[in-house]
Amino acid sequence: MNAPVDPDSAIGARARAWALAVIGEDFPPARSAELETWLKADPRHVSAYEQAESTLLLLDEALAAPIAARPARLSPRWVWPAAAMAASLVAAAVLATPPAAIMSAPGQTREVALADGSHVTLGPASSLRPSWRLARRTYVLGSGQAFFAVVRDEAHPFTVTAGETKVRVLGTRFDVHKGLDNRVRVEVEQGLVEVSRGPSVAKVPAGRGALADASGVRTAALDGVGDAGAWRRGRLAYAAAPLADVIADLNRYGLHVRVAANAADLKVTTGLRPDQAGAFVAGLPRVLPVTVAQEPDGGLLIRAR
Amino acid sequence: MIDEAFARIVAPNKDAESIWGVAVSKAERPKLRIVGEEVWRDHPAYPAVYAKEWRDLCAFLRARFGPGPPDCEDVAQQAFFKLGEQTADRQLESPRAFVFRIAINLMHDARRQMRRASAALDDTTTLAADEDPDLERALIAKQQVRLLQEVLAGLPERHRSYLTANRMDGLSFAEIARRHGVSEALVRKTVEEAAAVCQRAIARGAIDYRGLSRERTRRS
Repeated sequence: MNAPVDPDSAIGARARAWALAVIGEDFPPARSAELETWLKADPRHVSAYEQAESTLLLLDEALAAPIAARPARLSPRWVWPAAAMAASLVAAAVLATPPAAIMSAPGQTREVALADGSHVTLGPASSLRPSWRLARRTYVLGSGQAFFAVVRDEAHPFTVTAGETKVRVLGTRFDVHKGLDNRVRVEVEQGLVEVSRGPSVAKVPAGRGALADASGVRTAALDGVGDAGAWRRGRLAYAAAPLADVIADLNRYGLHVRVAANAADLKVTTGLRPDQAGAFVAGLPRVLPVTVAQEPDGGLLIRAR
Repeated sequence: MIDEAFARIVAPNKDAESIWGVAVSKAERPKLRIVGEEVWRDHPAYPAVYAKEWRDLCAFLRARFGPGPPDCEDVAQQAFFKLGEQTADRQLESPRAFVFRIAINLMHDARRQMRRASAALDDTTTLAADEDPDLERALIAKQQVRLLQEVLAGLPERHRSYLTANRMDGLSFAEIARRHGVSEALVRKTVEEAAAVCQRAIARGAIDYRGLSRERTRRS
């Protein structure tokens, strides 16, 4: 191992900027070549880079810790004396703060009243958190699915962000599902919602749904697929959905199944209850050109024949 | 009746019928041979689907870790395979950040194993003196992670949220800037400041919040 480099030195700061840029910025091969040149210019550069990188790897672990351990939101005025004070005081403030995210376990749904009086039904293995601006009516669907019954408040639109897709409403009942590849499905039961992704915007009335993916937002009638948020009544319905999407949903109900890349895009039209999920997967080889095999970890793997 | 209608799969196979309760017999269920590396070789689709990420990752691994061993493309393959496993049960905001992080970790693991193997060949006493390097390393890492959690607790809100968005959600500085309506330069600066506090804590074992610009941390 090389000698440590002071993280506050010029080399330390440069190394940190490099290590952060790898994920924070576009990093085409030309930049990798620049990085390589810099690393080879001085052994201290390598040492400083390794230090920065290993801190970031540890940081990833620290950030991945349970939400409940997440710190209090302190005003800057507070942070400075706090930093000088004993760490135990900070820890006390941490414990006094309620968890930031609403989460549900695999196979379970949760009913939650939100701060503004709206109501959300969280699907299994899903997470919803207030956006970082901490307004009472802006939420981020981190994963999974949620049905919202929103209290009308014209002055404060209610928004749900899922990946790059934004759903904006005044007051209504609608369902948001975040699928694979950042595909987001919105189904509207009542009222009118606005779904946008990048420059693409669509107004979606009751009885219709919207699908937002990399190509933009498209709307379609909900007919034949079941009504909005039917999953709340234990009914999952799919029309020509990619197999990988269907399995991703079923996994949220406690299944442990992987889909090989070569089978991911096979189309499935089906309706089922979550308790039929196991039988559904077992029976797949009879209706799709796939095999289902057990894996050593107890899960199943679906792959194309 | 509706149940019957639902319980149908319309798929390439024409004679689809109700499949509920149909179990696949053990004989039809071949035991999958999983030998670490066999499996991801079956996924030739990744380089095609993630062409740009694939190219960027391989170039980065080569620049950062040299030509190998381990071979950069092998490590990239494994990282993309893990991506495939992840997306089955978890949604990732940024697959790109995920594979980069996994690949860097895999690279470190592989190199650590190789170092240990060569140390064992060179000098048997080295290993005896340091009986369980993995355990020791894990304990130190655990301590350091706790220290970093303390650091995070004391960071100003803006520093913490940009850092989280960048490291956990894998969002680029530009994307964070867009979502918050601030400049990319401010996001970069904020994340660098936060990372500097973390690095100082690891290097010196003490928390030191110097260098966080106050005006930037004030809520607008």
